[in-house]
Parts: sequence; structure tokens; C-alpha cells
Amino acid sequence: MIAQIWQYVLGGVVDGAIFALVAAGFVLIYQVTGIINFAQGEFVMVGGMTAASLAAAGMPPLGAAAIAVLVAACVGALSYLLAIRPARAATGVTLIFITLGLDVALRGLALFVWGTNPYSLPAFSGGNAVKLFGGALPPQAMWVLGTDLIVFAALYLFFARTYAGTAVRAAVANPPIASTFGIPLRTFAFASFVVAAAIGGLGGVVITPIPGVQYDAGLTYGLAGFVAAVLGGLDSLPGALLGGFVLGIVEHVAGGLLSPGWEQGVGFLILVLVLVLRPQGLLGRAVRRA
Amino acid sequence: MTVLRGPHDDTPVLEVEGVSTIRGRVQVLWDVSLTVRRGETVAIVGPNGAGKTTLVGSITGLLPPSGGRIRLQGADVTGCAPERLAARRVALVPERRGIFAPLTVRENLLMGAYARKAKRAELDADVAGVLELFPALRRYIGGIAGSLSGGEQQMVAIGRALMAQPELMLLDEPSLGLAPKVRSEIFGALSRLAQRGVTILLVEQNLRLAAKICQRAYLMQRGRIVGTATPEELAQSARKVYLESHG
Repeated sequence: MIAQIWQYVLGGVVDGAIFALVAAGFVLIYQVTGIINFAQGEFVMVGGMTAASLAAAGMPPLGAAAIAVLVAACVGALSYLLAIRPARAATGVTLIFITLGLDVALRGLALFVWGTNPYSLPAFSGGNAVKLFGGALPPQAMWVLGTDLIVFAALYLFFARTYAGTAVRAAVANPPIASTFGIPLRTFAFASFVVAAAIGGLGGVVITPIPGVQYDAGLTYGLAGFVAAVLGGLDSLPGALLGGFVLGIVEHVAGGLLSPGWEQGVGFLILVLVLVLRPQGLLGRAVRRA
Repeated sequence: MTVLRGPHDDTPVLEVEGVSTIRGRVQVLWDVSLTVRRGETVAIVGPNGAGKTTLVGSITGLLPPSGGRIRLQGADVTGCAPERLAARRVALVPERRGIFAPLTVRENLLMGAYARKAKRAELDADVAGVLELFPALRRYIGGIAGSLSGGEQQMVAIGRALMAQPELMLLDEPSLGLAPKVRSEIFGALSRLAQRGVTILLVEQNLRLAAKICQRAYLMQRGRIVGTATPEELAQSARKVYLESHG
């Protein structure tokens, strides 16, 4: 029984790693712009679908992956320029509706481009399953976890150690005053969409070899990423990481022990509990935007 | 610090001509005109609600005016975004300090120089200059700015503005909420900056403090400039107000 639970935990770690990447996108955009981007999951779908269709057309996996991330970043850039920037004076609720509309539009576009067929992508490396304390992970899981490690380390280094990262933190802390010192708020808002989309796209590329992907996969990733971001704290990147893994593990264990139908239900139950007991999330601070 | 300039001359750094500003649905500024020349320290004094902070917002681009003209060193900057004004070396010490609370003191200071695109060595030298002006900040340089006292935060806010090497430095109520001892420390530093030739536009309710460092003052009331005053006249008014309020 314990071995079985452990195996569920390992499966949850892999899902959690992707949820954490999607949550990081939510947090990045929310921190810089104050917008909750409900289209975040679609960037995962775009990354996965692009890589899978390019690989199916005969492109080497690495090249397909690089182009897929680039395409996701471009979709993020266009999303900002065409949907968010023209409405930047709108209220928070209006912007939420705009991102929901963007989510539906991107899914519709994916249906138009790729149809309803599921796509798959070969694993990046072969070999046997990786054994861990009696449990097993597919070799692709190492790519997923490695991607998380690199992305979160890069984000940490950017924000903690670079001048531009410090400027972003200043812009988040006090946008109007930051602008009086020449800190370019709009450029940062644009960059947050591009980087969040690239991270989502990268997540889509590395996870697709495990479950495959189809045009509507973004909805599931988006919801899970949102729950993970709120769980960890919408203003905390470490929170996104923690929220992603907690959600992934809880969903997998619940789904394994009860039934697969319970997976998302338990995830949302945890979300409600956290919102009641600690509304700012596990690692977030009480919301205070200048 | 490299903010040293010569004594003040007649070149106008800032010209505000007939500026009107609307906040929401309320007109706050009515036909406001003033000039600040290079190296001058000019005060804007007036009661609460006179429109002083709105005027500062209009000059820095945070509240674009609905009418009139604002010129900076002869160039029309009316309605320019704050980022563009920062590139022209306009630096603001906002009301209630507006520091970047989660950042360290050093990071706050460095952000003041963002528009300059300066090299690291130059920035380090300028940070050292700020610490010379405010030695009290030395021990907190790596500490989180939001955890400092009000007076120390005001020093950070002034130091951050100095890091911009400002052509024009705007201070909005720098004495607000500070203990008398800290106030005199802050105004001592501002006085040294004024002597070094930094061009300053000071918004202040405390007439005595304003009189200490300004060369002349504009009086504001209900969104209009209603007169000008010399430092001596300001000091006299401050004494009168003091005597009236103490019987």
C-alpha cells in the first residue's frame, strides 16, 4: 500500500512540476501587471502542439522544441499587444474577461490549425525508468524536473542578482514612483507576457512526451496552474513552485486512492481551504499593491 | 557625488505657464504659472488641499495637465510620460516618501539612477556620495528599506532622487510625519544640496523650514498661485502663526 502511495506521489511530482511552471507564468504576469491571465494554460498547449507537429513533420526534437518555445513566446507577445495593451485602462474585472476570451480564442485557433486529433512527441532520451525508493519515474520526468530547476533558478537569479530584475521588483512595489525614475512599466508588462508564455511553452514541450497533447489541453493546465498559483501565493515565485508540487501530489494521491474523478475535486477543495485559512496563499504576503 | 553645479543663474530649468489640471471630475489647478532657475531653491507653500501635490504630479507627468504648458530647459514637456521626464533628469521625492519597501536601501538608491544607464563603478561612487550626505544610512545599506524609520526612509527617498543626478529635484512635503530632530537633519542635508547648486522645487507646509532653505516662494491656495514671498516674509508668517496658536 505504501509503495503504491509512493508511486502516486512520484507521478504527482511530475504533474506538479508542470503545474509549477504554469503557476510561475500566472505569478509573473500578476506581479508585473496586476492581471490574472487565464490564457496561461494555452501557452503550454501551443508549445506542446507546435513541437509535436514539427517533430511529426520530421524536424529533430531539439529544433522542434526551440521553435515551439519561440512560437509560444510570440503568442504571448501578440496576446499582450492585441488584447491587453489596448485595454490597459480597463478595470481588473474587464481584464479578467479579456484573458478568458483570449483563452477561448487561442483554443479555437488551435482547433482550426491542428484539429481534434491528439499529438505525441517522442521522449527526449531513451533508457529504463528511473528507480527512486522503490518507485519509478519515466526518463522524460527527469527532463521535466530539470526544466523546473533551470527555470526557477534562472528566475531567482534574474530577480535577486540583476539590475533589470531589481527594476522589475521596484516596479511591482510602487509602479507610479518607479515610472518617475524611468523604469519602463509597459516594457516590463510586455516582457512578462513574453517570458510567461515562453515558460509555458517550454513546459508544454517537456511534458508532451508523457501524456501527449491536443488542442484543448491548455484548459486543464491553465486551471491547475491557477490553483497552484493561488495555493502558493499569487505574489510569490517560490509559492508557485510549492503550490505546483502540493497540487500535483495531492491530486495524484487522491486520484489513485479514491478514483481518477476525484483528482481535480480534491485540488479545488485544498484551494478553498487555503483561501479560507490563509487567503494570501502558502508563501504569499497579504496583498498590498501601491 | 556628481550633482555639484555652479551657483544659480537666470537660465530657467522649469517654466510652468497657465497650467490647469483635472483629477477625476474635479479641477484642482487653475492657471498656475511659476519659474525655477538653475541652481535655485524655490518653495511652494500653502494649506492642505491647495493643489501642491497635484502640481508636482503635473510636472512629473503622473497627472498630465488639461491645459497650459510645462517647459524643461526650454523643451515643451507638457503631458510627457514620467519615464521620458526621468530621462531629462527630473527626480521626485514623493509625499510620504514612496520608497520601494521590499528592496534594500542600496537597491532603492540604484533604482534612482535607472534612467541614467550609468556604469557600475559610477553608480558605486554615487551611492558612496549619498552615504556621505546621510551617514545614518551606512549601517542599513543592505537592509530592507521598508523596515527603516520614517526619517531614514526620507533619507533613502532623497538619496534615490540624488542618484538621478537631477537637473530638477522636486520634494513633496519632506518634513511630513517626522520628529523635529530628524526634520532638522533632513533640512540640513537639503540646505547643503542647495548650496552645492542642486535646483530644487520644494513643496512644504512648514513655513519655517521652507524659509530656511529657499530663495523665494510661491503661495498656493485653492489650486491657484496667489502670491510670492521672500524667505524673510515666510519666516515672519511662521512666527505670526506660531504666536497666534500659542496665545
